[in-house]
Amino acid sequence: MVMRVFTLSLVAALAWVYVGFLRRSFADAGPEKSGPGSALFTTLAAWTTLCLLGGFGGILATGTGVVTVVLGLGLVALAFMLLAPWPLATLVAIPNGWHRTAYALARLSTLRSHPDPVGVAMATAARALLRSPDGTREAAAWIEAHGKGRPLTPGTLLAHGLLASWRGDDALARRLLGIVERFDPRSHDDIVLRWSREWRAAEAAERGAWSEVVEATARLGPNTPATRWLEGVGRRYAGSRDAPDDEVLDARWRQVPQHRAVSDLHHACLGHHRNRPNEPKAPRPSHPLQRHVDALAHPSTTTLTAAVAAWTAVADDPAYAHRLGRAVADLSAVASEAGLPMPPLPPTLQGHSHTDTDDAVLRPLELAGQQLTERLMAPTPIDPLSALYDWMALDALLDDVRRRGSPGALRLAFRPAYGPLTTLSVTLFNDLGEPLLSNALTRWLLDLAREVGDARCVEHQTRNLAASSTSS
Amino acid sequence: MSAALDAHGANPLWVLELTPDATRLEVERQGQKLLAMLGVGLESASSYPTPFGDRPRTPDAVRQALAALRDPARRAEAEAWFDLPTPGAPAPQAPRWTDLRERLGWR
Repeated sequence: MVMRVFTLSLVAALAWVYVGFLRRSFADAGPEKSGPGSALFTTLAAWTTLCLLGGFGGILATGTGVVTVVLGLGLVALAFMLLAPWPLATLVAIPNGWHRTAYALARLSTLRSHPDPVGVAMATAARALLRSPDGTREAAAWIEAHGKGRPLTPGTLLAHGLLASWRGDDALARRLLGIVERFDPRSHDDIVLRWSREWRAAEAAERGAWSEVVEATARLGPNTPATRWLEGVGRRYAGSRDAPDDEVLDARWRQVPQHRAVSDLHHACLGHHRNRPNEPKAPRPSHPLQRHVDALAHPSTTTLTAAVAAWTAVADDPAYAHRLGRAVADLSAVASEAGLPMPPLPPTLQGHSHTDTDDAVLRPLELAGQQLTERLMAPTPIDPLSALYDWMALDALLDDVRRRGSPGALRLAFRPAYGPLTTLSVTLFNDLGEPLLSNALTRWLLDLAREVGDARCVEHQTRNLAASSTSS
Repeated sequence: MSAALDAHGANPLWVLELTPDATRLEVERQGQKLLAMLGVGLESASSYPTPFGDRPRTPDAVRQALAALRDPARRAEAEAWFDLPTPGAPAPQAPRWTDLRERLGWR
């Protein structure tokens, strides 16, 4: 009797110690400031406690009374679950689409979720929701609610991106996950970068955008086996000179946990021609370009008409829009040179010049920049999440300028975007308590200033980055 | 060959036998290497392949290509027209792996 009371008291004491660890972990309102050593200590202490609990459970389970055996087995099961919450989250909760369980298990993981525990748990829950056959808007709102009142972190951004994808907005998800890369590396949990890169690569591969696959996967740092494999596949399909050979690509594919599910795709890629090193890449034909070059090489009424028809068919495709100005000029020149009548241009190609396109892409950007400035000047403070979406909108408009505008259009677009976003970056840092998001925006602004070659803005953002990196 | 096609043949990326993913450093290295090869009269550097057949390469063409690729706007133009095909060639499409996220456990 005395022994049983002693054992139960010990179990209760250990459980109390473990609850203390959990309370400490769950009380954290934002990204932890403590170093990895502290997280390791907490984890080791929690594991020791759980091992002792499981051990006592095992001793109790060998007892004679039914209640004692049930209690013992329950303790063993509980200790096992709490010892390995992360594998349970990824191997059980996510595949089954249990978003609440995924969230709870990810929050219980003391080592995995450092230094962004809430963000990682939200992202885990969002990933589970993507797998859920009957996910609801309430479930998405439940996940988002965990981020309310906390600074935006790479993990919460990944969660918002995955939820955007769940709602069917892959374009927004792509932008949000692209921003994850721009956060200060010290604020990242490795799993956030791994998942973000894998999702971006897989989504780009679904669109056949193989150069984007390479861009998303070719960065140093944490990567999943699927990301490493997709990098090789992307390089092959993009015709990169440093595409891996069959042996390397095959080895990467075998490391992908779902390699059987992608076997047919992998073998189709192995059959694809790989450019040999030092050999100039063979130009990749595509439909309008093929008709265009045919018309330039052998000008005739037929080839010119075919080229105009091909360009008309892709006039609304952003991938071709920035080529339309020169395409029309080329065809007019070759028709005049060959003494042939220029086929009538449809309205979508008429007046297609860089000036018209520049006007069309710059106007919305100027308007968006102006609206953001007005919102920043308004007495009501701007909501951080709404500020993030404003940034994403300007980013999308700048991409439009890059794709469709003339080569110099980005320089014209720079000021209308740079000014309001710099003010937003300062507001996020000084007034909204969003040091991580401000730091990420500063990195983005620095890259933009470098892209247009504005030395003063590069210097300004470099100073801002140094200041926000020290303080955040 | 039409003048328009001839103008495309002087794409600086083709002149330097580089791809759009070449870095600034790679561009400079390749330019200097080709200038050195042309300087000693190496036959292998005297022409470059284009989809419309080989074209002669001169030191002046290499210098012009280097200058073009140092300018972000002109580099963007060169990249946009880099993938012109050979006249009369078939037009294969880049494959789309439409259900990849499902296969990798993202859906």
